[in-house]
Amino acid sequence: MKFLLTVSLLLLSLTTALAAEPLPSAAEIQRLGERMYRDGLLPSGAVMKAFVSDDVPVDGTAFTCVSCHLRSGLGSIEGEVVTPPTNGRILYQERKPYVQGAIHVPLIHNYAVYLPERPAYTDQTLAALISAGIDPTGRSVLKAMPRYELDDRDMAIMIAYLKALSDQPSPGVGEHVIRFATVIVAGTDPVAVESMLLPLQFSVDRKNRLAAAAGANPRVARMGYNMLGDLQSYTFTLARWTLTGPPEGWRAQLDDYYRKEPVFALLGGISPGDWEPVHRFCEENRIPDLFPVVDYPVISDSDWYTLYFSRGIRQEGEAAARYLHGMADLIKDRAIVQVIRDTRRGRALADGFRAGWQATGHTPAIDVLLPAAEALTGERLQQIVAGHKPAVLLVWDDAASLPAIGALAGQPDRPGLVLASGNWFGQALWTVPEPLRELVYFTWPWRLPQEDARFDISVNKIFAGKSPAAYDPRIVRQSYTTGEVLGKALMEMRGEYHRDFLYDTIGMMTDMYYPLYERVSFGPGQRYAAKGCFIVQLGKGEKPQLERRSEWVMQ
Amino acid sequence: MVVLNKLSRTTVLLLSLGLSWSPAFAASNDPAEEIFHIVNDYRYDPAGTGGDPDTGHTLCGTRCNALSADYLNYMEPGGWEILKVAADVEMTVPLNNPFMKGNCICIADEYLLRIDDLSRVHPVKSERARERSSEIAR
Ligand code: HEC
Repeated sequence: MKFLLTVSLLLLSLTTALAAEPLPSAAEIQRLGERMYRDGLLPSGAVMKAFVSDDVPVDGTAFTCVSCHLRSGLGSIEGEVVTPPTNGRILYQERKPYVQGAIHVPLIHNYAVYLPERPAYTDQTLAALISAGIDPTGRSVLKAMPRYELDDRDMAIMIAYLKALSDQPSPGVGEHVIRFATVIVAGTDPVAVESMLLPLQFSVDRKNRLAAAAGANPRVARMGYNMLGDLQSYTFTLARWTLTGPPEGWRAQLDDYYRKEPVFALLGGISPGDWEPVHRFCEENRIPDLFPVVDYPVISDSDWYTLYFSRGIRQEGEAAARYLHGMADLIKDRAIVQVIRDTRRGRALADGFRAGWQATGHTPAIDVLLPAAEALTGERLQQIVAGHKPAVLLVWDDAASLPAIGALAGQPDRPGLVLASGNWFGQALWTVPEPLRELVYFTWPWRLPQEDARFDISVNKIFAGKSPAAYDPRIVRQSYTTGEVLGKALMEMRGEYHRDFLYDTIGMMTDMYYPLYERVSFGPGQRYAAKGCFIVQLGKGEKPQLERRSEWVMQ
Repeated sequence: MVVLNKLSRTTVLLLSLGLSWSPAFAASNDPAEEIFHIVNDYRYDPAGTGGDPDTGHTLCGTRCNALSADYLNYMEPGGWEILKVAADVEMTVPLNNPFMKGNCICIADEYLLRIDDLSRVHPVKSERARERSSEIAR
């Protein structure tokens, strides 16, 4: 009874407050509302007061709306845990245990089947839900969600924010069309570019053929609808945005392309070096970019809009550090030396190692920088070894260093192991002479070749008559994965084509097994999908295989 | 009959849009059979070298896990059949560490992986193969 009274008093005060208080501008509501929703901070900057089990205070910056309802506010189903949408468009509709318009399609269901029916919210009942945890049927949600103490004005901002959240489809989504683009940095090896494009264009064409078939044949349309829902009738477009000149000039070109044709997302993209300006462009315009083919992704814990395959070249260095960490007790006080080719790649490998090694509290390795153009001779390497007597020698250089490493083999105080980048060695890795194979270890950021061959079955269909030999097999596999992840995500989005929901959806996906990487995994806010790297050695014999010396993800 | 064929092609088209398993169309030149292991446990055996048992145990974890397969890597490409052929086999391998000698005993279940030609033609069967494989995972 007392409880009901509280709620009705609250409603009364809100009714008046919501009507009386003037609200800030739409842009300001967006900014302040987003801060409450995502960071748990009030417009005043103070932490939102949150309570669980009705009266136990908790940290409002930990129990943020976004942590449960995700950025798009479009709801999630993860195993048993169902979080309903919290955007105005859906809240202000009655909830039925089916999706409007898809009543007879059992495959098209969503969170609504897991929660009781309720009438549409009003501003007042929504305020009651947020502040008291009571839904419009009088049911308490406090078992599942905190309640928040907000003054009337802050509540009004919160509600206005929820009303705008995922309200309109994102730019690039038209009636029955979703527009994509891919970014090509001029000067990239043409084979690499074609290898990136082929699988993307294949996915787009396949989708469009299906839409056309569905348009022509009602039976196909019905089946398509059962499988894909709304998505079935959409066609996709894929524009190619080519960037020329130095990176400083890319931003203006991107803005220009985007002004002419707003796209929902970027797919792939390729650059022989820099990517940062594209990354920034996506961040600032809130445009997703799925899996650009780049060696030097922007490394950030908080950036949102670019999803990378991995942390790039530096990830190999990080893996080397984790591998050596496992035998740190045996290395003891002996030195680790990094011989670093002074190029972007060499430095990225060394940075990755340095960061990983120091994060586990070890004495830093000794760095020896090799000028970009200076050959690494056997004498030079022997000198380095004689000078520092390292337990481990990291050689961050290309395969031209192999003879110099070979010269160490007979040296009495040679290091216990030499570690190099299998990626950088390229084909030459297979030419490591037998006596060296025991000494040299390689980082290998992919599935082992003999095990990846099984995926040819699925990948080869994209060649459709073209010769696979004309393409870069790794880039084809990367881009193939982009098409698969996109297809899977769009299917699960149930007609809600919002950019933030794309990432919310990908964040809910389980680990996946696609070509090239041993495993790709996602998770809310995770932006580097392949988290592992093997340490391998070349086996014995004339036709050696790579042998794993580590797991994919080392703890 | 003709209609059926047409329909099933459409199904394949639909399914291949985004589902993570992919029906197989082309034959490949993979070997027809392969053995793989899923490692359940491991031990370090200093084999008289005086290697420290704790460090050895940790390193054998990495060494043995490196020999272990993630069965999904075998199932996801589709078109393969997995048969368990032995349980808890003990495999002794050299530790292979430059700073410490001794052996690792990796205890593993052994599986035979075999091309399943039927499932290459009928994607539905490969779905069944997936179910079987998820039983393995449990
Ligand atoms: C700990 C996770 C969690 C947090 C934090 C959280 N919610 Fe919820 N919310 C839920 C769950 C779960 C439900 C469904 C409860 C039920 O219906 O039983 C829910 C329900 C709702 C509903 C009612 C939906 C409906 O259809 O009836 C709204 C509105 C809502 N939340 C908004 C918010 C806002 C705004 C915030 C932040 C100020 C927030 N939530 C914070 C988990 C959370």
